Amino acid sequence: MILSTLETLPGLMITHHLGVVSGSTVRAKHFGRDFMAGLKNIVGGELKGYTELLNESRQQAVERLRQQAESMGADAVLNIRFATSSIAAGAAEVFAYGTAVKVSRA
Amino acid sequence: MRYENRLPPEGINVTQGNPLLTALSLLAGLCITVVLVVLGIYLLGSALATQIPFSMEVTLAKRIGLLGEEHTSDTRSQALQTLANRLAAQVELPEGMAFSVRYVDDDEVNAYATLGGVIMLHRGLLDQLHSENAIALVLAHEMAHIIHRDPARVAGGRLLVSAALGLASAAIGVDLLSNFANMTGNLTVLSFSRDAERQADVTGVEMVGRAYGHMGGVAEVFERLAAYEAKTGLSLPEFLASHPETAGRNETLREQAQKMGIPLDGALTPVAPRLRSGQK
Amino acid sequence: MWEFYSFLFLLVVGYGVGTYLERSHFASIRRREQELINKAIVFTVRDLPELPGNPQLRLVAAGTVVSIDYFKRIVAMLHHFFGGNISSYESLLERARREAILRMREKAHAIGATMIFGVRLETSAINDGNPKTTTGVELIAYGTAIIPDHTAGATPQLWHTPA
Repeated sequence: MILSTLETLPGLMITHHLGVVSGSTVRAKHFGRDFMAGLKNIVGGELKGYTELLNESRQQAVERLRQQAESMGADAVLNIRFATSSIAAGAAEVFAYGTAVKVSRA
Repeated sequence: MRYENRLPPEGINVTQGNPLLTALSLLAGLCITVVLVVLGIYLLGSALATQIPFSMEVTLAKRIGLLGEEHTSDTRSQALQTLANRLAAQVELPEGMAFSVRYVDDDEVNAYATLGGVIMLHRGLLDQLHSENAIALVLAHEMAHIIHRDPARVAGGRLLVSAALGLASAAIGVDLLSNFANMTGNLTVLSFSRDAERQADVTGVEMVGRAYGHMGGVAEVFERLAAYEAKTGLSLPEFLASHPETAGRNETLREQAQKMGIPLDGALTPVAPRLRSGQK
Repeated sequence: MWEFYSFLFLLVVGYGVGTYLERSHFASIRRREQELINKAIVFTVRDLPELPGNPQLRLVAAGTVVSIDYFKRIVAMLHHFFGGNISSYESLLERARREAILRMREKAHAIGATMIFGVRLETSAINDGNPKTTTGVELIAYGTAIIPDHTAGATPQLWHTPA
């Protein structure tokens, strides 16, 4: 499964456009990390806990995107975009979407 | 080039699971975690409090008004204090420990030990006891609590939990402290665990046994107080509320008497007139 | 005590009515997705195919705001304590997203468009001024709809063939 933010894939020909696929997840970090982040607000600097949280969320979102594409019989997902939004305090939604396509060697 | 939209299967973007079940399991997990954490903090506070020397506890008691000169003036308090001193001489006391017995002239059937070696004995309870031996047991039991530093333990535990809750409240913005305060009551009225009560029974009974040479009149205290509780249907505050069953306490009594090699019964010392309130 | 009872009541109502509404909404979404199959198909790519004649391009945008019911909020708080996926919000977003895309497609279909390209989705949390209490989630979907030029002999079948 090829995942790309490009519109076309060099050296490959798109034979089928299969539609929009998306993967989204809403995750929260546990209470302890929140507390640490609250303290970090005083001194400043990278909130490692939240960086980790968003990394995991991104990975899971891409994984779900891949699952949807596979279920449609796609070979690649093009034009992938990410969107993050905060739904509740301490919880973030990460959302990845793109177009699933079937490709063949040009 | 063909363009179409294929529908993906349901459920990829949602974590599976019955929402009600997950909610309940999360709630259960949360309750258990909170209880364990609070218990841990309480035990830590208790342990730390026992490290504080008794002299500092006395200073604290003076500062919060438990200890003061005006309380010791009446004859009944003095008579009880003499009895307490006699009992205190029967065991080895920790460094610098001294007791202050106060007589409280009201109908409440209660006696309790609090910080700084202060013991309060109410008229209501005193009127229920018909021998000096019985009164001695009540005093000895409370003194035992102080010897074991039970008031300090409870105060220390509560204080640390309050501090932790205050910190947590500031972090998450929810006021937990007022709820906790409602549940545990004020600092001067301290209730001890079953285990602490049993230990206090053992030491208290030992002190009485040594002072009088027999255990007569002691069993009467347990039974009389249990009967009072049964008759009135109330659970007596502090003194009986977390106490072990009467049968268990009598068992403690028998074991202790056997260990010390003293008889279970003997001539009871009548209550000195000075101690009698004149009200029946 | 009254506070606790009102809390319980809201929780039960939130769960009962909320679950029912969610389920019926999802059923409606599935039904409409079936109806719109091969009509107003969507893609995020901006690379347009060869279009015969003079097709018209229109901006189509649609959105929806779905609110968070009481039960979901409480469960999210519990999830927040332990960490991990908040399943209650995930179903909420899924619902909002599919609804927004459907509305966009319905709009496009209503103006005679057969395909929508360059589709983008945006999520936003709605609150009453205090970011800690999110009342709802807004989802918008927008893209460029293509209305085929029938005079040039273009028929929809030329562009999309069902599987």
